[in-house]
Amino acid sequence: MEETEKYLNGLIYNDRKVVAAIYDAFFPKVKSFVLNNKGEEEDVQDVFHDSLMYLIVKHRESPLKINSFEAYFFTICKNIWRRTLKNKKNRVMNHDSTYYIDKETDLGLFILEQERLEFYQEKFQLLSSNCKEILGSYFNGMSYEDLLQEYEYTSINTVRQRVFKCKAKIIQLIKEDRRYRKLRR
Amino acid sequence: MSQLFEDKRQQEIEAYIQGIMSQEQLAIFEEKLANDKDLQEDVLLQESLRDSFREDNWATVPNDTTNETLQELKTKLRDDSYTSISKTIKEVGVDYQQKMLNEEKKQGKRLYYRMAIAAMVILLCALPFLINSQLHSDYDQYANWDSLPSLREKGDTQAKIIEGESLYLSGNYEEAIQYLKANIDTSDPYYSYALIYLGASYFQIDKLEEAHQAYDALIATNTLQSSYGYWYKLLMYLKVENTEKTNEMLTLILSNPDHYNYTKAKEIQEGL
Repeated sequence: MEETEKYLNGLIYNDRKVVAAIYDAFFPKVKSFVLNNKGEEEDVQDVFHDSLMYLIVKHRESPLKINSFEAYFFTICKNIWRRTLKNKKNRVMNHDSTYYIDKETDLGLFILEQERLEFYQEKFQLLSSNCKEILGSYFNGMSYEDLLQEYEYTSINTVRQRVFKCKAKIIQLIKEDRRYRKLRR
Repeated sequence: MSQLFEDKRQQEIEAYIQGIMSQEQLAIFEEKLANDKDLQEDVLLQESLRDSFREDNWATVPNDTTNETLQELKTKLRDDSYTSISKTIKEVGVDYQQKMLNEEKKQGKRLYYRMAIAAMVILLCALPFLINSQLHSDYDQYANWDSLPSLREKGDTQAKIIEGESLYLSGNYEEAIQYLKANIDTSDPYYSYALIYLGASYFQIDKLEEAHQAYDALIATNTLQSSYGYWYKLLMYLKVENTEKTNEMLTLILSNPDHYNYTKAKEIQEGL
């Protein structure tokens, strides 16, 4: 906890020594992740920079309540990289080589996306353990046939009904929350 | 909304998101979608849910200029209080990269020296084995115990040595030794040939000391065949991988271009 506060406060107060300590402690791990996931050297610096900026914006907005700086920071880095890969893929699919977006817009969009993800994750945690299991598998691409075998349901129709119910539940939880209006874009 | 209607609606949304609708179904659904705001919202929500929870995907937010929150964020990020932190992070990043580069160079140098030392140690340790393995391979290449100089080929069928030669060629080495020792002496015109076969016979039954004695005697004859003695002794030293004695024999053979197998001895020496 002490370390987390030291890092977060150092960041918002623009403390060069703290930034250097964060580089020393976490850059190799982030670098290894990006390079092992279709990234290049120059991508690592961008991911690292944007992740730190995200923490600064959020922590200035309202103090972040996180248990482990390392775990949270690494999650942000991973998500920024997931997003980069998705955008690259979209640009290739749309044959859009002239795509340009300024850094502030890009980071701003990520901040909104990450907020929405955390909101969904919060609602997901409210589901029954069975729903969490089955929806988790479903969202990760498991077919109804695979779900039937994995969770030993009696028929495809039963599985489909279960997925629909769980999905309906999380949608209901999301829509009921006032924050949804702001985050739904 | 009836359960049946809701199920159908969910199935349609799912089929649309998964891209598994037929052209006809897609056209109908898209028409419905264009006119139904609730349906639009549900499709967007389910798409973003699916993309958010997939490890290999990401749910994006459109770059919409009417999105006030986004505009506020952009303004905030362009403010000095953020740009100065951004600048610090970038500068520290450059310093960090430079530091890593310097460390890599240092490690590279250290590694180079360590590897050079290790290579030298390995070479020094392995040198005797490398040389010895070369000696053995030379022996395999040059040993000619099956084609000793033959009097039979010279057509002198009357010579006593012929019998010794036959015994040797038929693999009766003990008998060859006995015969040659009993029937050939220094007065025999083919004494030096007899010594070649005697030495070779001793060699074949692993009596190397006796074989060397026979070839020493051959060298001492001071005949045209004397230098054969150096060659066969060389072969025996190559076989037992005796570097020092091998070099000694090579020097003797190479002291005179007329010596038997002078060219082969030169090849062996160059290969060592």
